[in-house]
Amino acid sequence: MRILPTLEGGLCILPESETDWQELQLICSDEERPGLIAESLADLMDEECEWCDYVTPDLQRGFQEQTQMVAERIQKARSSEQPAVFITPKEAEKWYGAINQARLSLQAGYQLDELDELNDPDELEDLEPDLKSAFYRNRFYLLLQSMLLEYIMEA
Amino acid sequence: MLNTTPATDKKQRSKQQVEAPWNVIVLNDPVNLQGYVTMVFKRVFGYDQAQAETLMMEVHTRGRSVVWSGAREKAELYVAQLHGWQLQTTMEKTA
Repeated sequence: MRILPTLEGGLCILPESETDWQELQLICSDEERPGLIAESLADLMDEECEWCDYVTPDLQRGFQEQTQMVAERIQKARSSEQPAVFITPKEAEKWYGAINQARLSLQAGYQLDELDELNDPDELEDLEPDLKSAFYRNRFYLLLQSMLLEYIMEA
Repeated sequence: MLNTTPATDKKQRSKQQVEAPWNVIVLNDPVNLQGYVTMVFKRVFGYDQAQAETLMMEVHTRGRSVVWSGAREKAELYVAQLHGWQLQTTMEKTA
């Protein structure tokens, strides 16, 4: 997979294999349920302030929109004649948000921060397959987020 | 029993309750990138780069940072915005 900056200030992702497409599509399936993050954020609030009634539904809708948009862009790109996924400056924040949801879900499911200091490839190979896969997906998402920040959102 | 509390004291206490500022608090998490958190603080609060970075580093090193203080309604609005950016945020009344 190659990721290139575009002339209009966005990014272009060029998947080169079936695995690359699957990795991109996992962004949306790793995000377990859009409502979950909104609910966990609401847990940080005082119960008396009725956060769940007024704010959480809006957040859920917003998070759902992010994931849906990313899923649609990937699907549309995959079925086009010249398969490339374009991330425009206008849509960068939604992409970032969808990827962040995936990373939050992976963190909640696998506690990946505990593996941050693991850099020895042998140690990584010893991990359970599910955990290893989650670790590498998280690394890939992190790279995408860093590029979105550097080339689009902070530019 | 008679209520012996002077009316002025009651009024003052009530005024203090209304005006006591609320802190908007961002908590550290292992997912959000430092550059992203800094960018969010700049966008939501209009802070400059230096101030936003200082607050971000406080979140990172101390586990939490009071990023804004003021009226409850505005604090709730800021918390809702920060939740929208997926930052772990809460608010509490100042002592």
